[in-house]
Amino acid sequence: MERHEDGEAVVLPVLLRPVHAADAPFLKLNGRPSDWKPVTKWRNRDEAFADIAQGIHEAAKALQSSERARKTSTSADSGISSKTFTDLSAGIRSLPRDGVRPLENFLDEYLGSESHPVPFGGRDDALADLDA
Amino acid sequence: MAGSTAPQRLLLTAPAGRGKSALLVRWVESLRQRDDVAVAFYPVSVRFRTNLSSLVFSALTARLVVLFGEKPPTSADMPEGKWRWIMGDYLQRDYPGRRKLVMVLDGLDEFAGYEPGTGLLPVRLGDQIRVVVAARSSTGEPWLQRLGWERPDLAREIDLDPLGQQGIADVLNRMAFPLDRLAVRVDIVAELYRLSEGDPLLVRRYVEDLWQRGEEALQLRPEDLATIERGLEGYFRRWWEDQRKLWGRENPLAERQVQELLNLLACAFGPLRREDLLTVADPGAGLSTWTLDGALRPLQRFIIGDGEEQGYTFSHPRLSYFFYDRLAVKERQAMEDRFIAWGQSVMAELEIEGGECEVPSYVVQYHAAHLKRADARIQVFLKLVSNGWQRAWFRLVLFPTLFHREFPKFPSHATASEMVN
Repeated sequence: MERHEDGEAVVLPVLLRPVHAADAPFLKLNGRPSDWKPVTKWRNRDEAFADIAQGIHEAAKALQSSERARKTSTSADSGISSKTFTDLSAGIRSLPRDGVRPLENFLDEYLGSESHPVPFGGRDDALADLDA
Repeated sequence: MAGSTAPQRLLLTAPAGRGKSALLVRWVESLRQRDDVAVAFYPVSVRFRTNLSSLVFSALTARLVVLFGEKPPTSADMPEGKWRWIMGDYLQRDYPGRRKLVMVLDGLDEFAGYEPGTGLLPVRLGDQIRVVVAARSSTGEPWLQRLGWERPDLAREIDLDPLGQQGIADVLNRMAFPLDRLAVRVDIVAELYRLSEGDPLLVRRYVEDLWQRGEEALQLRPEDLATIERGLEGYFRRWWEDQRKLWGRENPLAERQVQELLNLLACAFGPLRREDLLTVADPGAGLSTWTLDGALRPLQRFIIGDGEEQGYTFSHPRLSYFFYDRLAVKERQAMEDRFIAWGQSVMAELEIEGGECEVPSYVVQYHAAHLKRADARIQVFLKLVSNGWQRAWFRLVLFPTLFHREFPKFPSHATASEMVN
């Protein structure tokens, strides 16, 4: 449980039989089968085990995604907004009307900076779709 | 879109707050780092005061000119239609070399002074040219139809879904320490999902609040969140309760002043400058140059802007709709009356001065919208065709962001030919 709290491991409790566990620390986690219904209480036990397998699959994907995000965040987070802004405003800067500052503000709002990261994620599929 | 076989046009649609702009900006950022793609991007945004069509088309054209390796325009003295025509001319050309040129236009539904339709882009796009546009889902005619992009070989449409639990975990992860530790807490992720319903706007609010708490966020328990109702209502109710506790009895005016600011921003159609806020605010709220900063402070996480050039507005239009909907009919009416009275006084001043005086850009751009919302009589609208008003409007259209910094002379179209070499 300590390693789970520290992010080093993922604990996925599985309830096979009904037990009295009102104060058990693992109850704060999202266990399986869904809604903590013990396997022996399911009419169809295959469904219960499929539900457990689904839980393990989701936890493994979340872990993979966590590793990926950690790797990308170290390489892409430094001064990203100012570099982006310089590149994307080339040409616009030559106009006498000031369309540059609003563009900079817009990019800041959505990209942020290392000290002020802007929450974003869960869009890998959409980004791939745009790339396609 | 950056690939080779897809249609040359792509439309991204989703309801307000679903994260279209965030997605596009991240995508543009990834394109910018690629050697095989050149990118032109400009947002159409009321919040950032980039929704005037003349500004958008001049900016995009200037970008295209530079990407085609030509000398950028140095004059802006040209009507919107001319800019759009030049933009279309570049988009019809084949992009030289092996790179693709991707033009990205975000916020099609927020244009002022232009109704996007079949004339937005040329019928034929040049080789290696790709265009991506994003718009809020339409309740009327579908965007593909409006743009004339219905043929499947012509354009592709992408809808953006709400985030799932895995998506929320990914958001926490990308924030790095300490929030990445919460990403593996399935119970916390499930609570955030319940509260936000996968709405990226709310996910951002909650994640930013957690980020503010630093390592203390690691002490978060699901039961800390369990009492909050889902949706924006729950989020703001909790925030308001926290604020009231913070203000206590020591500062009875704070609540009234913050309420007044929320109501003003909710009823405004665009950003308001500090001076605008003080002009339209109810004198009974006690807002002044000295108290305004204090009243704005609790709202910092919901509003954007500098109070001067960019003005102040909610960080997302959905927040405006939310607070507007919460107002009672009488409250809306009272607020509308004040906006209209402000507009009428500016109109009177313009008539006297023949348009040659400095007036708030908000009034010039949005007074008609207030009149429309108030179902004003046609005689009131007719004043908007007065000479003074028209001169102020043209000045705003041609010099939108300079409107308050200087007072440019009415432009001469004699220099239009110098725009593009």
